Amino acid sequence: MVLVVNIIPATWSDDINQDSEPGLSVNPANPGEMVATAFTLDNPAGEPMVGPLAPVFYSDDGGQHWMLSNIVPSGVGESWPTGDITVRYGGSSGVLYGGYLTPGKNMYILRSPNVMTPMTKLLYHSGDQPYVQATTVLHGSGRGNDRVYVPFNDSAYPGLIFSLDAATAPAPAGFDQNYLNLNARPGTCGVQVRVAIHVSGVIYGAFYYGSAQNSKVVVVRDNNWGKGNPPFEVLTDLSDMKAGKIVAENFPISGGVMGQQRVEGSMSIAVDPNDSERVYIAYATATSSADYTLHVASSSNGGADWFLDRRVVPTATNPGLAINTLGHVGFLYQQLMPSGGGSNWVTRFERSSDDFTSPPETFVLADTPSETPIDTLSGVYLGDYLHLQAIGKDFYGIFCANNTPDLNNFPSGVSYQRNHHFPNKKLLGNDGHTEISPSIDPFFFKVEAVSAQDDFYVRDWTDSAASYDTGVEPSTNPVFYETSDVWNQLDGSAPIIQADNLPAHQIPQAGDNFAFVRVSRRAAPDPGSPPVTVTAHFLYADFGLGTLYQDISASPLGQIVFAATDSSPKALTNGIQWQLPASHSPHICLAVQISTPADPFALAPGGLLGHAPGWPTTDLMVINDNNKAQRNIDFPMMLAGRISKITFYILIHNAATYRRDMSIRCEASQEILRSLKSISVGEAGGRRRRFRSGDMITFAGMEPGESRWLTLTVRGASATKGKPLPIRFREMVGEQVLNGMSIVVRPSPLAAVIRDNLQFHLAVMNRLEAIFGVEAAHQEGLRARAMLDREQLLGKAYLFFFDLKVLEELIRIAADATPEAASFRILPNRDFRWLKSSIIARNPQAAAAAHAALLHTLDALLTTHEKSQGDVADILLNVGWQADLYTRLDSPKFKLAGSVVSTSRSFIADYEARRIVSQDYPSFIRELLPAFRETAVQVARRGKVLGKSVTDMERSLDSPAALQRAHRRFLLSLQAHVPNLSRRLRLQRKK
Amino acid sequence: MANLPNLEKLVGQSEFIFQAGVEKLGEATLPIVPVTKETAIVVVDEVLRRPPGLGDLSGRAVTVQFTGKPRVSKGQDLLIFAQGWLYGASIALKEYGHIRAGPSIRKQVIETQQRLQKRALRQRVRRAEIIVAGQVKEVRLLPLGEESGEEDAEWGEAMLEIASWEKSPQQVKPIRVVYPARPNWRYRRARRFHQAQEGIWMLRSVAAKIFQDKAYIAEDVQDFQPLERLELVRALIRGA
Repeated sequence: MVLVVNIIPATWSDDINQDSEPGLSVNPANPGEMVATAFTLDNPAGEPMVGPLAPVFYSDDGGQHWMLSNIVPSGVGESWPTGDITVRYGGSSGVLYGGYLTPGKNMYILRSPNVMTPMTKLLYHSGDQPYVQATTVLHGSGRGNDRVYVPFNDSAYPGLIFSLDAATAPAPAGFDQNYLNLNARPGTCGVQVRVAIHVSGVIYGAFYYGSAQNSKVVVVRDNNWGKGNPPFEVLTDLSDMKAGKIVAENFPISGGVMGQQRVEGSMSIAVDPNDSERVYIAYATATSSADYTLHVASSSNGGADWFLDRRVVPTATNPGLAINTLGHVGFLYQQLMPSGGGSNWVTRFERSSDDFTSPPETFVLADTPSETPIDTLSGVYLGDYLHLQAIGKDFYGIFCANNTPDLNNFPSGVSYQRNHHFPNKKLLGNDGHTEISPSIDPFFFKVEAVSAQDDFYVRDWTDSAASYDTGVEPSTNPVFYETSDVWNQLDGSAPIIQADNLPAHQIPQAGDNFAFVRVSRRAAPDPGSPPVTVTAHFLYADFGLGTLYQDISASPLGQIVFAATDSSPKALTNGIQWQLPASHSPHICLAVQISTPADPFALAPGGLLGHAPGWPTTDLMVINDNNKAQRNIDFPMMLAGRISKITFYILIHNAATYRRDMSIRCEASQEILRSLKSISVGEAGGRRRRFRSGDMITFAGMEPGESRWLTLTVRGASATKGKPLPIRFREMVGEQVLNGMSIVVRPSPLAAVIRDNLQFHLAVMNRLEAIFGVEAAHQEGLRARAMLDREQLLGKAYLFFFDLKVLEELIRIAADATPEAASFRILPNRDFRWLKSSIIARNPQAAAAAHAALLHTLDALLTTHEKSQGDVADILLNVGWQADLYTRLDSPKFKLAGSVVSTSRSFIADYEARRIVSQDYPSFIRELLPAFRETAVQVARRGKVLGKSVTDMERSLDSPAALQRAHRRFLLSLQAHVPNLSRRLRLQRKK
Repeated sequence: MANLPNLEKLVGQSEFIFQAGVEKLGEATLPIVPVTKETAIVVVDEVLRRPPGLGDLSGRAVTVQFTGKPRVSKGQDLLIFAQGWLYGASIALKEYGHIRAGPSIRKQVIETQQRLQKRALRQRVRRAEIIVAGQVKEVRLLPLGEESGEEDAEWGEAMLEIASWEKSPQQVKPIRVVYPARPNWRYRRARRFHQAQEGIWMLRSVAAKIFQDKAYIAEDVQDFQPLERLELVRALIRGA
């Protein structure tokens, strides 16, 4: 699982140059492709440049083999190929960016469309040590743009130059528009300035500030790609109320030389790809080079507060930090250690899954002499920096070391491309026998969480037989919920894969359904490898955004066995049988999470269970983990022609454990919008507006577990008869997409719409029967089924299908039982009247259009009713919310608060591990009732009463759903008091 | 095919000059090379110029990306002028131009190459204040100057043990040759030196506070030459 490679290529075997100060960039869109840099000339003899272009190192096979590509502008006769250089791939664009120092403390910002084409100079600017970072905006405004950040020091201050759209524009490609001094305080900064980018648009910057004797480390933050108003002033320090949080202060950072490497400040910063609030920083302190020490600190609240010294490493430099999609922290550094009579540079990579609470998993990558070879670059012996990067679950890094091919020097193993002889520990020249003196070389390494052949995944998307998800983490296609490899069939005997290599998904129906998954493997296994059993775990949620996943059944697991010869994707041979509850809407979101012993899904054992993608943090659980996939799409038919009008209802649910605004972005192509007569959107019961792609609908003040409706009204789709019309909605936090869903309207002819209506009619009648126990609904269902059995469905016969009196009565029953629906303006009577008039007018087209509209409204009405009765899918949310609230009840008067927190956490752990299920929820609540009563009493003394909610819970102990509802009401009341309590208690303590 | 009037330009700019036979058209020795009609595998017969440290390429197959619409055919012997592009398990080059190989053109190329070298060296010899042959006795870093920053004020010095004085107004005492130890805009082409290095130095005096005492610098790549060029340098001094 650890790969270490000396990246000097075979044709460079005569190389004696000091190829120090390495950089690395792995292409996030294709992690097999990567570029590295060092002080490498265009000739192996270490002579001044013989050509105009200096090389970068390039690998297209995951770092196993490397070559040099001359693409960096330099100059014939230059003694230095470049000064400090870093390169970075733009996220999914594949464009390569670079920054390098020229002689004289100026720098160039560079760009190339690929690693084969000479880089173009985009900007020339004063500054030192440009350390480039870049990403591609995957969602929202600016989607597809490359955002490139170049932090540097400009002698006195920490500078940042950036472009918000750097990929294609001619020089200076926007880099001349954004130039910042990150330091709000007077005084000079250190050499190192670093930034970390989160895909949501949160940008962190870090730098040293002050004097060598009294230094500080400052972290700044911007929440809008560096364009905050004012920029990078989200964090302030209470000591002086100036922008920039002082993480550590009053420490010396005196330079010197350590093991031939000069040391004068070291820095790295990394942000959790799943949580923009979680950030790590590494920095150095020193009174002299003898006690040069690395420190690692972290923040879990966006840089406001810091936990210092998560790790402290003496006599070490060159820190590299990265956080993978599992939330594990990688820490790379080089430590000078005594060895024999001298000392060695020991390069270590540490991986921690618990914020270094327990000793991290440690890999010694290199342990090489520090005295040989003799430095020829004035103290840039190994380099002033190195680099560590996380892509998905894997860590990639680069470092420099003495290149003697001694296997004892590389305890994690190593491979060389340049000629060498391991037994004799000799480097050999291009001729294969001349001995070459040791020098400093760059070494690439990769620490895989899961090896490629052990890495099984479910495709998030398939565009065609030739274009599909290859298991890259995070997934690169923003539409990860339409064409994934998890689907439902009504026949479970065999998976159905269509000609375009897409699974044939069918809308679930009441009764038997079959869940299928197709699993892919990232690399073929070695011959003779043992078979691997992949376990697939299926879940479903309400169709919408923020809705919470629950198991599809009590037996939600399926298995696929991959033999050593199986390298192609394999689907379950028989679907996993499951039954959609008769009371549930047929519109659902289906998900799968797969695991093997060597490749568990992230956030195991629960994963998606009880969660929605994006919560409880901004964790992109599906796209960051290739073991998970979801299908959140509906394909409603709509009568082709101007007569149709349907309002679709999309459930919006707050899966967070706190009150918040939910932002939903609307997206559809202009072609689709032009093809419709009209289209409007809005919060149900609120203001409606014309649908415009890119518009945001805000659901203000959503309480935890609260559900509301987003409505989409579509009129007339005659212009695009037969062509599907996808309309997408995405849940956003800032610029980050957490989740998405699609309604793909299918304009269809009358006969097809009648059949679709009758199937939906059957499902809605089944729901009415299951929820209200009405026999008439059962009979309606039977009549729909009987009509569906006919070979031909004619408009005339269809008009006679309707029993308007029965239908009206059923609507009345449902509406009367669901008073909440009125606030959402879910009014089936309006559609019923349209249906009735159409039938009287003997107009089958109008009747079909009205029938479809009525069914969608009725379905939403029934879901509203169902939600009002409580929802077992929300049990885990309730318990998590409860733990949060009770953690804040820190008064000694709430003696049992601590036990509520610990019991809640145990419940969550057990529930996620499936040691308990929703039926165990009542006993859990019963156990906590004394604590709830205590809470009610304490709160009541201040004039607030929670007692009624506790009584409601006691009365609901026989039904997990009803209990969930009562429990939520209790928590909602408690939440209203907790902030007041906390404030009052703080005041009391001050007195 | 390059015109002979361009020969001086071709020789002047090329990192690689070699004679080779065209082996395969539309193929490459490195899988990464985007193969076009202009791509060919050639087998090297004789190398007239290559970057130092690349070893002997004779007999090896390399990839050449020809320019324009090259009229080359399999089996043809060419004299190829190229710049370095990709170095992996094999080498890929981008041509500046090529000429059909032959003894007379080969001779012309060698003569052109020598003429250009001599011309460049003559300029350096003329410019040098002193020229010495010898060996680096010791190298060390100078203390940082007042204008110290990270990159622009770090200097090293090499103490030369003189074997012969070739151009000197007077034979001064031990020679201090200073060199920028980090990239330096003014002296970006200046050579760095290491202990025990042997050769010919063509030096000019340099003054700065950081140097304190008298110091010299080899301010161009050409200002240091291997010892085997001593006779040539002497001839140029005589003619200068």
